[in-house]
Parts: sequence; structure tokens; C-alpha cells
Amino acid sequence: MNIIGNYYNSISSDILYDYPISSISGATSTKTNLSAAKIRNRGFDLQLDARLLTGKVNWNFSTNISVNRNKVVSMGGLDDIISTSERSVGSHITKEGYPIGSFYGYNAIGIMSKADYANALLDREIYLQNGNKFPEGYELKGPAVSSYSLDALSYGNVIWEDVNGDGLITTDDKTIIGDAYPDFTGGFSTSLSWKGIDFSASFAYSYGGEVINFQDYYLYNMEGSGNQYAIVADRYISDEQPGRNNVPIASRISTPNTSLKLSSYYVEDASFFRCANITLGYTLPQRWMNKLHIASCRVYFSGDNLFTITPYRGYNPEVSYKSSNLMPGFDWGCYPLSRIYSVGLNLTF
Amino acid sequence: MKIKQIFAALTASAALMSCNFLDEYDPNATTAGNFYTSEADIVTSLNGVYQSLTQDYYYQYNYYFTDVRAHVTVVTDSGASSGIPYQFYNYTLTEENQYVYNRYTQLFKSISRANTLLAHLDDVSYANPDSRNTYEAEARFIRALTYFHLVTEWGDVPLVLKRLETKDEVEANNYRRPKKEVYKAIFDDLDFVLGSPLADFQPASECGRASKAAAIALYGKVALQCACDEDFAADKSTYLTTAIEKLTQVWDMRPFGELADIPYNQLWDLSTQKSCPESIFQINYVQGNADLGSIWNFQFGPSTTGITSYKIGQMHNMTTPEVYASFDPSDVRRNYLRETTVAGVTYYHTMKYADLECGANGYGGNNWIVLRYADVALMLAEAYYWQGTEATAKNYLNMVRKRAGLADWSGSDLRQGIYDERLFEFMQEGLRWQDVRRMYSNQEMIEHYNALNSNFSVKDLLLPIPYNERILNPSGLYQNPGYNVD
Repeated sequence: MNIIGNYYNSISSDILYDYPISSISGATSTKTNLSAAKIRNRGFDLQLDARLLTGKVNWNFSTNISVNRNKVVSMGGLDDIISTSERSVGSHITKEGYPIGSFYGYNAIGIMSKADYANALLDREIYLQNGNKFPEGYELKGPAVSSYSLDALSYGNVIWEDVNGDGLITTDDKTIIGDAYPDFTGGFSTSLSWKGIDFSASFAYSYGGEVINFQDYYLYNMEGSGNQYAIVADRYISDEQPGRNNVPIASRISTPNTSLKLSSYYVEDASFFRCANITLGYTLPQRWMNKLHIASCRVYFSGDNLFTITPYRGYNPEVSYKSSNLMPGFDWGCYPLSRIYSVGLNLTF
Repeated sequence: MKIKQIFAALTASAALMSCNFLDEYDPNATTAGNFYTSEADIVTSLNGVYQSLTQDYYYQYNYYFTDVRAHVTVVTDSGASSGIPYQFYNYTLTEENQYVYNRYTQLFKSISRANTLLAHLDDVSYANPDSRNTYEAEARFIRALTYFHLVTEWGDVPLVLKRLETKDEVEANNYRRPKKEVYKAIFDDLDFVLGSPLADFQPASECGRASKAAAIALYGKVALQCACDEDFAADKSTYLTTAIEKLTQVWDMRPFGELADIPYNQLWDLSTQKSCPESIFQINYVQGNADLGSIWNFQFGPSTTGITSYKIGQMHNMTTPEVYASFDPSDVRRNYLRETTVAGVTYYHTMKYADLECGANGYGGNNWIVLRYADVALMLAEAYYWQGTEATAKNYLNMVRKRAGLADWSGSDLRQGIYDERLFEFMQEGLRWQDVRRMYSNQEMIEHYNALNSNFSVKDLLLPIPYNERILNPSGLYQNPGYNVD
């Protein structure tokens, strides 16, 4: 039996990244070396290998677990970096004290009931009477909204968190809504052999990571302009039929809701448990082989990625569409992992 | 001993390498610094400036920012996230609108390409000494045209007139400058073109290139836009005088007699479009070419094939029934609008960009016309109207009406008559937003559009500075009024 443990505390500096610059330059980003900034990765790995049985039956088992915490220790005096992913949406923020490339967007805190809607209409009156703003010190009766335009306002809309408390939902209300980094990851594998038969299996898991599932831009926009997830059948229709009471009302123009706002709706739990490989083999007895002048012959069956258990709605929770390390955990039509079955024959002469 | 020597040699060569490390250049990479070695490179670079006019969000999707926003056309169904295009028609634009961002970045890309070329004009020698200033005139014409779009759509914008070499230079220039300064830069560029050896007109074989006539016409248009801007009310009569002077100058240069001599369809038929003498500046496209074809044949087409295109139509930029109904039934221009139905609602699609020869890929040969003589005539009518010389204004107005098969104008409100005529003449040509900004004062604009859609408010007079840009310098890139940002 073997146990290996590692603890590390690593500080990285001189980070190379795409610094966003104004399009007046003709481009929108430039590769820059960020010399004063510091990023810390701290954590530990633990590995355990065990030979449980030797002799006629051979049985080995090993497992490992890794815990890593990533944090921007210093931005070296620079402003927060907001990175733009697809559809010109600013989706990630790199900010002192938070993990690099944390998810950045609006935070959904509920669904507007008819009573909320009626209150928002009262707010609207005040807002319009006062020249498209609220009087000093006005207390909202209903939830804060992004627009008091009547066709944008509806019960069943998402209620967004008014982070700066100014009574309106604007880009200033974007906040950190998650990150791609798992709490811990690991795996285990086992192998077993008896006479000519060998069997091995390996599994991997990750817990607590999140992914921006940007397919939601289409699949969860509640507009009916394309196929939607099955959960939209459980959407809010009225106070009497609230569905799951977290899926907004369907609307052809869903600007106030999910379609145009990178929000907590897009952030999904990307924990998973995956069967990475299972192999079953049989080595034919030596005495048969000798007659054929073959040193050894093994037939096997092997399966890769046989199953993944995950709450993630996309194809593959282990995803990163963007190569930039400022934009981890972003899914935008990434290829799923393929499941591979192989049958093989190893001949040695 | 031997190992020591090798080690010493390695250390020495490593030290040498590190000395040169920063001076190394990659012989396989082309940079702006080493690209310009001959006149041919200048021409290639100039073609790149022209090519930037075909960027998606320059003229290709221009209609969102002009006809759709002015409420004369509709994007009927835009697929997923219809909210983004719908914001233009519904006056619910936000600073995060992706199309607004794309427009802003792509217009500045054109500016930056022009600036790069201008910075390197003196790197090479020219066979004909006039060529240098001809190239400069062409690049500066495009820069002026692009700033005209920026300043009429956003108001104050950053003003960059040189190539920005470093990140610090970019940051130092990234702040909004008063629109008066932007207009001044436009006039400076056009003054240069007017004094340059650039040809008055380009032959049909050079269709798509700038000319002096184009610069004079643009000069008149920009001056007229300033004359109608209430922020410049004190200089109104000066701007009107300039507009009339330039527009008359280009009108007198026209290579034809009467406007009525040129049938309206000569502008649009693919066989005559590139050589039509009425056109002053057009963006040239190549039929059947995947990179150089235009998209409007299907983009503005009905959902069936065989009418404007053999590619399925996208039903964008459809004329509303109200606008169609305002046409005189005998107006030849109304024939360019054809009825179609989208989800049970009647709209009218344009035939101006039909191309039934380019095949099912829809790589159309239709050009985008930026400036033409009917525009000049109607701008002259406008300028004289604002000056109070109504008889002359009517004279120019009637030239356009005559070609359209209509009787002389008779009405009580000449301003309405002129701007209505511009609507009929330029449907789906992307001029409407600038037209209504000239027609109405800010207050009238808000009242007129608020009656059509209660969402229209002061914010809709200008586009929002895109969020991704604004956050790079929140104080220098202050947001336009009404977009509710602190």
C-alpha cells in the first residue's frame, strides 16, 4: 500500500492575457504581459494505491483526490477585467479576491407574481410622471425592472437582483454569479486478474464546478424561435399555474428575461461522475500458442466514457470553449465526448 | 575541462541570444511596419479600406440603424433572440445590444484602416506623383463617410485621425469629443479631397471607387445635417449656404441632362446598375462570389424563392402597410414594393435588390448605393426650403417627382412634402434615420415617435455607447442621456 500526498501554494505572476482595448484601435483586445498581478493556486493532492490481493487472484485499487483554490491576489493596480465571450456578452470577470474568470451577470431571485406586476405598474406611474426616473428617496413597491415599457413588463418575468439598489436593473447590477472551479476532483481505478482473465475499470468525478451553458441563449430563451429544453413545459403561466416557479413566462420578445442577459439562468452545476474506461480481456493459454509459434495472444473488449452522471443540461460538463484562461467553463456548442467501444486482439510473436 | 568549455560556450550563446531577443522579427509575419515597400502595397492597403465598407455592420445590416429605427420598415422574424433586432423597432435599446456594439467596432475598424494607410503613404515612391494624393483622398473620403455615420448615430464620439501605435495611445484617445470637432474633421477630410487630383467621376470599370463628385455631394450632405442640428442653430444659415454651394456644384457636374432621362429601374437593374450615371458612390459587389457577393437579394426577400432570390428570403427590412398606403398608386417607385404575408400580417418587400441570376447561394451582384443624384436634388430642395426659398425648393422636388411619373407637388406643408418624397424615393436605401433627424427638431422627434410607440424617449435620439466600450473609460465615454446608467 502506497500513499502519496502533495500540498502546494503557488503564486503566478507575469501573466499573459488578452487585454481588452477600445475598438478605436481597430481591434478589441491585445496580448499583454501583466507583470504586477499575482494569482495564487493553493491545494493538495492525495493518492492511494493498494494491492489488495496477490497470488492466483491479483487485485489492485487506487484512488486520488485533488483540492485546488484559485484566487486573484492582486491585479497589480489594474481595473477589473470583464471578458466578452459570445454574442458580445460580457460573461467573465477577473477581480481581486475572486477566482480568475469568475462568472459575471445578473442574478435571478424570483418570478414576478401578478401582485408584483400590479406594484410594478404603480412604480411605473411614478417613474413616468417624474420624467423617466424615480424621485429622491422613493421606495419601490414592486421589484426593480430593466424597462418600464409596457410590452416588456409582464407577470411571469424574472425578478433580478438590484445589486446597487438604485431601483432599476442596468448593467451596474451585474455581479459574480459563480465560477468554473470545482471544490474537489478525483478518480479511482481498479484492476483484477485471475488466470487468463483481466478486468480493469476507472472512474473520474468532479464536484462543485459550474459552467456557463451558453446554448441556453437559444435553448432556454423562452421565445419559441427554436427547440427549447423540456423544463420549459413547467414554466410560469399564471399565479395559479406557476409551474416550477423559476421558469419565466414564454414571450416572443424576451428582452427582460433570459434571452439577452447573461444571468444565473445560464450557470449550471457541472459536477459529474464518469466511467472513463472498462476493459475486460482474456489471454489465451500459453500451451495453445506454443503450437502456433505465437508468444502471446490476448483478446479484449474495452469501453470508454460508458456513462456520465451529471445534472448538467449540455453535452459535456468538462468543457471549455474559450482558450483564454480568463474565460473558463464556457460551453457554446462544444462537441460531446464520444463513447467508444473497442474489441481487440493483441498478438506478440 | 572540455565540459567546462562547452558550458562556457553555451552560456555565451545564451547571453547573445537574450540580447537580441527583443530585436528579433519574424520573417514569416507581416506587420504594418514592414508591409509597405512599394506602391502596389499602398493599393492593396487602400483596397482593404474599401473592403471595410462591406463589413456586416457597416452597410449590410445598415437597415437596423436607419430604416427600421425610423419606423418605416420592420424586421418581421429574426429567429432566436428576436429581442436584439426588435429593440431597434421597439425603442427598447440597451447599452448591451450586440448589434450596436458590432456597428461601433466595425465603423472604427474602417477608421483605423484608413489611418494606417495614411500613416504609411510616404514609405514608398510613386510612378506618377499625383498618385500619392489620389490615394490619400480616397482614404480620407471613406474616413469622412464613416465619421458621418458615427456622429449622426452616437453624437459625440472618440476622434482618431492618426494610426494608434501603442496601448497607451489607444487609452489616451478613447474619450468622446464634442460632435462639432468630429464634424470639423469630416470637413477637413473632404476639403483635402476637393483639392486633390482625384477624378471627378470614376468610369464604370472602376465602380465602387471614390470620386471628387462623391466628396462634394457628401460635403453638401454633412453641411445640411449640421444646418438642421439644433445644437448648431447659431450657424444654421452658414451651413445652409455651404450645403447649397456644394450641392449645386455637384449637381452642375452631373453627367446627364434631366433626372427624368434616367429611368428609375436603371439604378436597380443588374445590367445597368454599375454604369448608371445617376449613381455617385456605390459599394461594389460581385455576383456569384462567396466573399464579394451581397446578401440583400434574400435578406430583404419574402419567404418564398424565385421572386427576389433563389435563396429562401429572410423577410428583413419589410415596408409597413402604412408606408405603402402613403404612396401614390401611379408612383413608379411603388412597383418596387411587393406584397407578402408573414404570420398573417401583410408587409411589402423591396425589389430593388432582386438577383435571380446568382443562384441558390444568394451571392448577389446588387450594389449598395450610398450617394446618387436624386438625393442631391432632394437635398437641394431641403436646403432651399430651410433657407425660405420655396420656389427653388419645389423646382428640385418636382424633378424627382417627374421621374417617378407624378404631377408637380401641390400641398400645404412643403417640409412634409420634401421628406415624404425622400421616403418614397429612398425606401430600403438606408437614409431614413438621418432624414428624420433633419426634418424634426429633438422635441418634434420625441413627440412624433412617442405617438407611434410610447417607448420612444430622449434616449432614442442617439444610440447607446456600447457597454464593452464604456467600461474601458466610464468617465470619458459617458453614456447618452436616457439610458439609465449612473
